[in-house]
Amino acid sequence: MNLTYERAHETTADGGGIILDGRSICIVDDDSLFRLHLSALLGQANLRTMEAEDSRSLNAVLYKEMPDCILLDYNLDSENGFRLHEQLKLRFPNLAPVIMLSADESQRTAIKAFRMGLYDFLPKRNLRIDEITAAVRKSIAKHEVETARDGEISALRKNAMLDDLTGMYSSDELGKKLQLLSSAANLSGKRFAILSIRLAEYTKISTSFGVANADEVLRGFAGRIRSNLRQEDFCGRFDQDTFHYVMDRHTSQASLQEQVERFREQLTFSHHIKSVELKISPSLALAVSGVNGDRVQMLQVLSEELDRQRDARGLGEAAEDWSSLPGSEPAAAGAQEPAERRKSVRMRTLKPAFIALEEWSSKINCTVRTISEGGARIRLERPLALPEFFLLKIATSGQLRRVRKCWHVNDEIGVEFCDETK
Amino acid sequence: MSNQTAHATKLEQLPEAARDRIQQLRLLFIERSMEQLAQIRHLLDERAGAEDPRTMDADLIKLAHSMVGASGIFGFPGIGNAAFKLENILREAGYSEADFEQAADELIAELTMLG
Repeated sequence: MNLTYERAHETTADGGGIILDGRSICIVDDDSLFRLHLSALLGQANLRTMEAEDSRSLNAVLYKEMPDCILLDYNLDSENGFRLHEQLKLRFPNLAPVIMLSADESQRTAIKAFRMGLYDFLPKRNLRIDEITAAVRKSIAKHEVETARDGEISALRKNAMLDDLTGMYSSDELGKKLQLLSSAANLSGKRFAILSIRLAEYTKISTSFGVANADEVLRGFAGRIRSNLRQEDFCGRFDQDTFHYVMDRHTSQASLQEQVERFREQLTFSHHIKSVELKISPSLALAVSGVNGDRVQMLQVLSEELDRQRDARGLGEAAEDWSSLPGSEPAAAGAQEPAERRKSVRMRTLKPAFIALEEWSSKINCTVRTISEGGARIRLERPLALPEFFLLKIATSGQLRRVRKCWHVNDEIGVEFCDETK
Repeated sequence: MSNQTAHATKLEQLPEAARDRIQQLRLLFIERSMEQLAQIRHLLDERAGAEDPRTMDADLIKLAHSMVGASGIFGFPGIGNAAFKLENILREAGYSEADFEQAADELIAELTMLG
């Protein structure tokens, strides 16, 4: 797994450069006899094997050691291989290549497997051990090339002058420019100021709606900063959710205060993620050279001030918990006014329901925790990966409704109703 | 049966301990297949007397599917092919009883040969 990009390129598309001796394979199948037999056969090909019968035992195996390849059965006892694969991708960012084995030989299933990012698909009927080892070799080779390429891209991004998400100076470039400015200011005796601007809700949005949605908000947030960027100032992305706006002219108290207020006003806006409206606002902190010490001390002052504001907003540890998010439960006494506004009133319920998946013809039990005219919050019996669209039947109402998944955190899902039924 | 011969030849090339282990697992597979054969016969008997024979289909599909999945790797492709045929027929909405009976007989014949 430690090939460099160049070496990985030396491997042929069929994995000819990959040596399997000593590699590890995890066999995931609910048929223990099949697992044992396949394990014995792979052992003869000098492969080390691990076994799992379901998602629970597979997670235990993967937390202990990530194998070089995973052989995953499509039809586990009470689980679907596709859904399990989706869960694994979310849980393990460095997931090994997964090959699907299936007694279902339909073209549809095979196409779906490739579309869902599985490395190979092998029909179990008439399956030969040399077919498996060839597929394992090919998948490992492909995975190593992809991993090396991702590493290269990350390295290029790190060296890039601009941050590719926001179009602002990257953290490294910002640091360099700030250091130059600081040195020049020391020599000239001129002062400069750093305005630290944080998208306060970033972590909360990321936790509740996913990184892609959080990044979309951040992009919009950065766009507003850019449109207020004066020619003589510069700005860059300092870390995940924070920008540093640097000013070395107009550093009088009044001018700086005016700039702070302008950003506070411009960066307070509403953002819609499907049926949810989020109120976005910045956390702002200002440090001035001389007044707040040198560059390093200024950065420390800014960091402490932003952390203090975050604690005051009550977005610390509690932000990780969906139940504490504004709008999901009544706000705690003294907490800030909810930043989220739904379009219709939600009612708390405890209604049993089930999710029906059209394609897989399976039913999943769940509980409806809150419901409104436009959607519902449902809780699963255990975390599961679900498609974007599925059917929801609430036991008491008896209607099967088509819904769209808006967010998904652990065992809780927010859905909006896609049909016209009321 | 030619595939089984090829399988046996490959098996002979393995170290003794591995060969014993694999033979032992194959015996367990055969033992399980015999149990599945008994289950199929039982289901067919029940099916013959049932008002709606197709109520037994889900159990038969499950059994056939399990055989399709496991028999290939154990070196019994005949069972896998016969089980695959039966499963596919049972999954068709309006399958004919004649096709079903023929596929079921083929699978039973393959399984009986194991014993």
